[in-house]
Amino acid sequence: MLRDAISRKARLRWAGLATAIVVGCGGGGGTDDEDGADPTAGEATDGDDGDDGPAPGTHEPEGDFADAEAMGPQGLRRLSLTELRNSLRTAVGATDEELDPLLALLPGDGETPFDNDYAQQEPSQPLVEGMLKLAETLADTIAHDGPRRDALFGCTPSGPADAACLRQGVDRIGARLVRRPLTSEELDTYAGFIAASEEDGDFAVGARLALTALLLDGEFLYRVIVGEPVSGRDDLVRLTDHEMAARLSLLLWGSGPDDDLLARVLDGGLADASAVYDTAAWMVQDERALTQIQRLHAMWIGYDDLPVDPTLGDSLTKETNALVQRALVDGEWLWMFTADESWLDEKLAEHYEIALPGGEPGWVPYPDVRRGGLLSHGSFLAQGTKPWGTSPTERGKLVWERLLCRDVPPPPPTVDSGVEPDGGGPDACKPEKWDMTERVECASCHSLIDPIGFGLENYGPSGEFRTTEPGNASCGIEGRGEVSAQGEFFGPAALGRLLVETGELEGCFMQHLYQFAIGREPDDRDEVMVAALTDAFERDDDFVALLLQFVASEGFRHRLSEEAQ
Amino acid sequence: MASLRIPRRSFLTGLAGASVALPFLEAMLPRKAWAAGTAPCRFVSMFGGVEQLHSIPSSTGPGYTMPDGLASLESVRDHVSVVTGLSIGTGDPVPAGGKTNPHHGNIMMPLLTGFRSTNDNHGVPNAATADQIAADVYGGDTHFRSLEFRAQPVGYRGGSSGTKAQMSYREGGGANVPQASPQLAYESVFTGFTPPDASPADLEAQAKLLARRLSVLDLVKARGDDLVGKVSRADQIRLERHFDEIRDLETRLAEIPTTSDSAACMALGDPGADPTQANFPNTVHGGSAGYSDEAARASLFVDLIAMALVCDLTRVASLMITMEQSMMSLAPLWGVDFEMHDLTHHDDIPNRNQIWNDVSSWHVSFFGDLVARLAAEPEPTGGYLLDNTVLVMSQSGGPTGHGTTNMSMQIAGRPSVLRAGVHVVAGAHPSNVYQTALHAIGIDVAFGEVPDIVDGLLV
Repeated sequence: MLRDAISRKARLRWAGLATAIVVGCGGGGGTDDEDGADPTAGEATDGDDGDDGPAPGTHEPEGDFADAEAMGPQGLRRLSLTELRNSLRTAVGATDEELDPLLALLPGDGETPFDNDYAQQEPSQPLVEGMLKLAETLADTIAHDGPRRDALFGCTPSGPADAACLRQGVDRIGARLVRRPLTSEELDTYAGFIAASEEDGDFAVGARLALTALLLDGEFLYRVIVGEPVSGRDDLVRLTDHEMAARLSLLLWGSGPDDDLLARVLDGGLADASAVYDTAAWMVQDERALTQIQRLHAMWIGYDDLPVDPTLGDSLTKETNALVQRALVDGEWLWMFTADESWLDEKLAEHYEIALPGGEPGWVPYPDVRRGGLLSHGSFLAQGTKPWGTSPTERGKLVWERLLCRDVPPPPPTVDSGVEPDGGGPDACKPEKWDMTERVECASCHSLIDPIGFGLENYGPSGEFRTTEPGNASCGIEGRGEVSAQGEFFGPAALGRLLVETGELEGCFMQHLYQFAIGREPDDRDEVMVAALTDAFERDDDFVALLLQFVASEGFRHRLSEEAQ
Repeated sequence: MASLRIPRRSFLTGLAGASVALPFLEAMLPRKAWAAGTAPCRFVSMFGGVEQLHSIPSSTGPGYTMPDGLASLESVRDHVSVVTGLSIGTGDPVPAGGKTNPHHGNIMMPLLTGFRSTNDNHGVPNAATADQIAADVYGGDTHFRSLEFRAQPVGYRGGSSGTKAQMSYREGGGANVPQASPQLAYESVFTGFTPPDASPADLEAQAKLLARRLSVLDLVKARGDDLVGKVSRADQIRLERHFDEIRDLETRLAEIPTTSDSAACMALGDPGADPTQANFPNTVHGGSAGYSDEAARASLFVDLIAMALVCDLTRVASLMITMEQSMMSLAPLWGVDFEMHDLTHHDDIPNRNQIWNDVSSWHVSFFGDLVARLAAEPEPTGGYLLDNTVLVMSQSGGPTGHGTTNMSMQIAGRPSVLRAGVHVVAGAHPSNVYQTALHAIGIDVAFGEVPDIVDGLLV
């Protein structure tokens, strides 16, 4: 039987990482959490539970995971701004202070809800002008900072005309940027910029030009896959090991490969499915993987950009990141929706009106049986807020579309969805205001989604508890909701349990994982892999184990071009 | 908050006030000389991402009463005509030129192209906007075929790209993504301009820098061409588009722009780094609301467009002042801790109606500013630039929330064809105003699904 769980030790290493991960420090690391609390405190740390995953070198894809065409056609993608930032951190040690003003010059990414949909990536003059500015500025900074440049290049130039040192620098940095070793011919080309150094008597001049050219290179900005031919197929290629490393690192780390990963490639670390599995298992031990998986969840649910006070938003993000982290460590993803405790800091405890034992941040059991799981987090509840306050429709729609992947048609053209419903007049209580039964074209959808939102009405725009409607104290909130064909519920804990019972959460999340991985909305060309992922995840809701199976699958290491239909 | 170092209105000799700008070295830049009366036609469109509360004059014809939402146009009223009674239909099925929900993403397509947005096309325009139709005719002989700018750099809440963030589309679809950085726009527009006091050594150094810059781009492009040959056909198309943009950039950098014969043509002062985002309280949505000194950014873009037209670096430009459904903070300019879009929905905003009108007026002030400059700038061949330029201003909806009935647009320029200083109740589709604008510069096309000319605008 396939042993498809990640090493327990790997999970425990995550658990042992300090709360820098929880605050979402994003790849660069650092343990700068002021609270100093470990969100996974209380987790078992006493060793092996016997579930260590396959022994090294023994993983073999099974079923549809062995199908090279399981993933639908994949188009050429550009790095998202986050991938660009992380890759520049990795490749040249760029700091946020350097990158913030430069990345601000580039056109923004879309939100589908992910930031990497290639259908929305328009080549444009603002993009190339912004990239030119970024490349020239960053290259200039590095080239003229001797110690930093020499550390990156791995040499100190003997003089302005030290072509060997320039060549070495291009070799080291170029491999990180274009995600493969440069050929000797390519190195010679870049080293040719030494002529400018000689002309000006300054090594930095040629270094600047070479770095600028590397940073503008198409293979850096775009995730190019040339691949190796598959016999008898024009539309299918097998990724080279370096292309595989790039795909892995951009999915698991949100960054281009670092030197360690590139070295593993040269050591055969991606030569076959078992090697890929082992390398991926190594990669997920890195805190960048946890940050990336937390980011995946945040974009999926929408709390990557919380519309709340930034201080509160920071606490809310920590809370949900901690929940995600613990679900990953425990290998029980669905637990996120039914957890009867949450990680709170002092601000959140006050916000939720939950006692924090000892006043120290940590995991706290919910005293209110209606609270439970991710759906009771302010990070989730804040998504369904309109200018006038919480919207049962918006919250229901979020659950219906984003968590269950069910369609909600747009309202009829004559309806202004930006206006609060006004059934029963301005002083009416919310259920009466939201009564859509008189308009048949509205009722069909609202009867499905509004009852979900009404079951969360006891929780305000950022998750605070309330018993009456804001601004209308005469209207008590019943908090009764319903998921069609599933049953009634009161509050987020019961809703979470109902959603788990639908059996659709895993499949919906797998659709989103797949969308994030492939860079476009999935359609019927993607059914094989989405079904394979869903089946595997339903058998065992260990998300990290699932992720390893996915990246070690034949589909993941092949690429069907868009010409294929 | 950082601000642009060069105060607005300080650049253009002949357009306003004392100039601090630098006339570039005439020897460096070849000039165009047009025969008398043969100045080129030009087209400018602007957009503001807020609906209009009171932008309909209470009287029609000449001498109309300026509504509060257009108050900033008072000084240019003789040049500006207001067109009202403009509607985009809704319904199921969506009528020709109409729109479906949701409102914000889907109004841009019918407004800017005259074609209906539907659930199938998701409101993503697949036809050319008027500026690009104009660019097809008038953009071929200039350094820039067209310029596209946006003053609001980011969405603040929600995405910073897509239909709400762009207003210029090519035939068959494909957005001309607007440049949202005044810094980059400045560097782009005035590439090749040289300070008049530059020494020969300065010029030599500049030439060397340019040559090296071009050598980098040559390498990037050559490697790109090699790469294109290795990937699948679909990937080739995407890569080719990217490298086409690189090629265009390289061409513009290498090209010494040929400019007009106008004495007013000169490089503006360097604006320096872009204003940074400041955050303000957000009453309705919680968290913060952002402001990136859009006022300064929009002013600089107006400066750039004006000078680009004066110099004949381009004949077509568009400026999106704020994104559709703008979530820019109202705090720094209007003193209330709300987002701009809250004006449409939130009646608890203190002095809401006055602020709403002021916000509309603020948007059209940039339009009025450009109109005033072009009206005062002599055309080298006689008359003024406004005589040969048509400008159109639109905003994102009518006076009732997300309503698209009785919308108001403004149009100015080409007085030989268009009536100036009148209020016309058109009873038409907004796209008809764009079609009329194109007609005014000699381009007669059936624009959109409900093509027509607003006869009341014609002389």
